[in-house]
Amino acid sequence: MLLSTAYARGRRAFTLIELLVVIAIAAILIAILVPAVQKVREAGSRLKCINNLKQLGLAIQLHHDAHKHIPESYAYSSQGGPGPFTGRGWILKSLPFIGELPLYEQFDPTLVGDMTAGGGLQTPSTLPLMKTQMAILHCPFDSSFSAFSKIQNQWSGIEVATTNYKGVIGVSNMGGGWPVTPWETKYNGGVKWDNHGNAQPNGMFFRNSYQVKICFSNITDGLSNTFAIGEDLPEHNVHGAAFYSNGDYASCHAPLNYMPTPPDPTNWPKIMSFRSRHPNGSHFCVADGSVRFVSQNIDRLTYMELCTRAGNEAAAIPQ
Amino acid sequence: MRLRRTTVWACLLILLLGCGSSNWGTATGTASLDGEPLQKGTVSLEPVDGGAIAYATITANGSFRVMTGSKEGLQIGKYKVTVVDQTIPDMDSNEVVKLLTPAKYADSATSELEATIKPGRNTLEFHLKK
Repeated sequence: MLLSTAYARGRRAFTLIELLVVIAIAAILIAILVPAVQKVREAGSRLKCINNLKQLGLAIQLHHDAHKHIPESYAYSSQGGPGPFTGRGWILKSLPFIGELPLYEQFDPTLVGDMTAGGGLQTPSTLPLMKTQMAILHCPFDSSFSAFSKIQNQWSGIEVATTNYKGVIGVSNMGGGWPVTPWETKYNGGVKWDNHGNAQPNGMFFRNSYQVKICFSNITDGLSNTFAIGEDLPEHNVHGAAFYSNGDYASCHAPLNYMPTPPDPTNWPKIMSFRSRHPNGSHFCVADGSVRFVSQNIDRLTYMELCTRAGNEAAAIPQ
Repeated sequence: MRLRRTTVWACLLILLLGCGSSNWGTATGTASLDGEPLQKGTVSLEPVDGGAIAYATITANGSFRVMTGSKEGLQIGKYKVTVVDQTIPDMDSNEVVKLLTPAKYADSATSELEATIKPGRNTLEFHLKK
């Protein structure tokens, strides 16, 4: 009885206009909310990336506390150094300090022998470990991340984990790949400066750094004026094997976010540099442990000066 | 009616003013060696007064599009330009890159190639000679 009275008094259905108004309001609400949600998700991804860099920076500090120097790398073959040539990189050396001691201990027995002779990191029992993909080495902005793991330099056909984070070798002009840089003009008499294959690089991480064992007191440009770790994309650079001393560093010789189109990932003299998918720049972990966003419009000389550990350049990170 | 037309003009004016104060330009162009278009290589644009380096990758027909980092275009101003095509040496050796283009154009101190970028679209032509 009550029901039929209600029907009689009110209307039985929405009119077309009412329906359209409701749809319009819903559309406006979605239009407002969806970009907001995307923005929040993007901010979350950025925070994750910053956090990864922060953790790696902390690992460097903890390693320094424990060993009195920052994590070092071991080259894969003799290049004037005494060895061992295991190919162990600084990220592998940092594993115990990012809560991955068990993984490090699995690697540990195989960290002998020459890599190029089937020892070191290419010991058959170690190869499965090389596939360990770690979230802390992945920037969520890089969607192409894991697709390039079988074409890494010196690991062709072998599946290895890759990293979005690379140590800063300094300003080494890799194989002379870039025209004379402003740093070379100012500090090296206009002559190209390439030391990636020996123990002379002027940054914090390079494949022969076991010969130098850099400690914080060697970073005379100041811990807050020296980049330690930056970002890279495996899609653009096949030197990205995560635990390997020839895949865990990059140089500041090329412009920040250098992204040739189409990608040219095997052209190591040009592309062993820093880049990210963050709009208009890239993050760096500074030697003091802080993480800073650096604009890709940064003055090139300043950028290069910030990548050296003891260049006496007095460069400061732009605010 | 007059009020509405005034409003429309005011909006257009604001939009135009918004575009006018740009310090950014885009640039495309072609690079050739002795009249033949280069097939590959890199154009680097170094700002004369300091700043970010811009670059372009030469594609098969000699054409290129200038980028600064991951963004298309570059800051307005004067640039010294180098044009380089080179080999990729074996990383395990101590080799360095070998130039396939004349050495003169590989160093901004000797290249003599220049570009002045204005707001809006720019067209660049670099004709190298052996």
